[in-house]
Order: sequence, then structure tokens, then C-alpha cells
Amino acid sequence: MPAGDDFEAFYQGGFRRLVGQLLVVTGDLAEAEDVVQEAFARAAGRWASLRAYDVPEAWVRRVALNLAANGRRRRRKRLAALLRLGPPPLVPAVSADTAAVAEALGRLPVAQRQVIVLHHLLDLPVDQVAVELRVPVGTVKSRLARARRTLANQLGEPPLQEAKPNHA
Amino acid sequence: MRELREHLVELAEAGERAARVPGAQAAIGRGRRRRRRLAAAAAVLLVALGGGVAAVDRWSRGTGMPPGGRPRPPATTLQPIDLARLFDDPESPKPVGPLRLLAEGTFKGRHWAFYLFRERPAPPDPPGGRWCEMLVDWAPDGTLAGWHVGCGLEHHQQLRAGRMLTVSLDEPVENQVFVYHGGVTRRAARIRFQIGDQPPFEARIVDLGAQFPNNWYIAVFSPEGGTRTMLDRSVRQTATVLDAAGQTICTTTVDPGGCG
Repeated sequence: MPAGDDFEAFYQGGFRRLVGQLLVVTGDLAEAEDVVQEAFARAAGRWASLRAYDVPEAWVRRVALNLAANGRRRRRKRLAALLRLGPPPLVPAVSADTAAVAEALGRLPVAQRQVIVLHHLLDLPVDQVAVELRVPVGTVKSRLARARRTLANQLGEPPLQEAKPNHA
Repeated sequence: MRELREHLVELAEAGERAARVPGAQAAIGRGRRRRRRLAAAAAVLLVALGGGVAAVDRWSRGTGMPPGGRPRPPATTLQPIDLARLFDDPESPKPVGPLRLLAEGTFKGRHWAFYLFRERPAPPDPPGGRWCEMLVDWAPDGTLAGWHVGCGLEHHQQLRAGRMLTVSLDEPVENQVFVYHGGVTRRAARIRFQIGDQPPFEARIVDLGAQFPNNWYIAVFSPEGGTRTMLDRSVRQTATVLDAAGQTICTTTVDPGGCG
């Protein structure tokens, strides 16, 4: 079944939200838009089966997260800066504190940024993050711990604490 | 600082508001083109396999890599023409003069090399052009696996007053390579890294010129078992800055705050 009206509604309903989430991972709005658009392009080809999913947006998000982590693609698409080099990333206007957090996030390995988004932004429990990223729960916990420690060091703050006891 | 989540929500909402939406039809068209490309590539592969054609990877010509087989280690100094294809992209910074090879190595058959070069200046960049670094890595079959370029070292690696060293860490090749780099005092002659119980290794210190107030360094590390082994365990990582007499200037756990 070709992607039709319901795909259009699905796209319109989720595109901006996913760009916002991916911006936290990529640190660059244009790159976030690109990986989300590519993920929707792949979803369009599978829409006949995807539309039956409980949450097809989760599939698109996972594809976009994988694309964001795919160094090869990023390197070829726009010469993404290694580490935090190059001109400042294209990030929409935010408060100074949040800009500092965004900059600190940009110094983390992308795998750590992924777990930060899924766990701290989307509020998914650790086991759900593990399912979404297809990695062991222990890996998610260690990435979260490492990311929080690094962020705390970079921001000159005490280590970030968990808000929920059932999380890592 | 506010809760991390509040910052993430603010950033995500700003992105949501600012996002430009190409539209569902554009996504559908893009998906269609992608499937056509994949089908065409599969057809070419079938023809090549069926005819016994020795396909020559296009990147191998541009990078001086032998077609297929094992990658040839880069020469000590490569002229820009050797990697010219990497700079074809109109958005790519264009090098002036030779690329300087800073580090190279292999991991699980992949070969990587790290270069430094000066960018051809273009307003509003500084007249001398910016300093850029580039990581290139090749797959075991000798084809180009990927590359990064980042410019503006002279801007981003300046030390704050009183600091002797800053440390940035990234994992440009997933689960294979860690890169440590940052600014370091001009007094430093050596920077030694100790990562867990792995053998210690030293950074390459690079002088970016008189107008740059401190030096820059890079150290590339490929732990046995992959970098993931380090992410999954609590591994102590320290950096020690030594002067020409071998005296310790400062030492720190690997931490962006550095030492001073």
C-alpha cells in the first residue's frame, strides 16, 4: 500500500517533535531535520506494515537515532565537526544555561547522547531504552552514569541525580 | 543549575519550533529515490559478481589506497591532491599546503589516520585561514569508511587563565577509537595518558603558531576489545603534563576541566 493520507497525518503530527528530540542528539538543527526526514522517507516505504504498529513514531525515532549515530553518513552529508570544532552548531535560541548544557552534550559520544534523550527527555525507563537501542540494560546504565558524570564535570555542578528510583 | 530534564525540554521545544518541515510528499519522494538507488546498486553488484569484474573502488583512486585488499598506510606527509576527492564537497574546507599526518593506526582491520591542515581563508575567517583536523578511516577491504573534518582549532582550544591542559574526548569511530585532544601550555613537552591498566601512551603536541597562545595536542587510543569495554566499566583515566626536564607540570583525571 503506498503511503497516503494517513502517512501525511502521521508525518505532520510527528516531524517537529522528532526534530526537537534529535536536536538534543545532533546539536545541529539542520542535521536533526535531515535525519528525521530520512527516517520518514524510510517509513514511507514500509508504511503498509508500520501503520499497524502501536507507536510507529518509535520506529521512526529509532531510525533517526541510528542515522544520527552513523558517522559515515554524517561525515559525508555535511562534514560534521569532530569533537566540538568548527563554527558553533546551529541551535535555536535558548537560555544561556541551556546553551551551556547543549554545548556540553555536544562533547559526549553520540551513544551517550542517545540514552540521555531517551531516558531524561522522553522519560523512558532504562529497560525500555535498552529495548529501543537494542543494547543490554547494563550498557544503558553505564552510558547514563558516564554521561551524567561528564556533564557534571563540564558544567561545574555536582553529579546529576536520578529523579526516579526505578531508573539507572 | 536546573534539572537536566528542564534544559533538554527547552532545547527540544526550541528545535520543534524552529524546525523547517519539508513535507510528507518530499519524504515519500526521497524514499522512492533511495529505493531506486539501492536497486541500481544491487544490479551493479550482481553484474560485477556475475562477470568476475574486479571492481575498483572510486575512493581508492582519490586517496591513494590500493583497489580492494589491504589499505596502504599513508605517507608521512600527504599532498592535498592525494585526498582531493574528500574536498570535492562545496561545503568542505579547502586545504592550503600539505596535510600533516598526526597519528595513524589500525583496529580490527580498519585503518585510520588523523591529519592537520590549514584552511584556505575565506572571509570572515582570519587572514591566515583556520586550522582544521581531519580523521579518515578505511574499511578492511581498503574502501573509505568515513571521514570527519573540523575547523577552528585556534578558537576552540584556547586555555583559560591559569589552565595548563584541557581534555576533550570523543569516539569518532564507534567502539574502536577514542580521541583525546585539547589545549596545553607551551611549557609542556610531553603529555602522558594512563587509561586503566592499559599501557600508557603519549599525546602528540602541535604548535599552531605564534598567534595561538598555547599549543594543541591529540592522542588517539584504540583499546583492545573496543572502546565499549571502557564505557561499560569504571576505568580510571589520567593525563599528566610534563616539561622538558621530565618534571610534572600538572596531572588530572580525564576531565574537560583539565588542570592548572
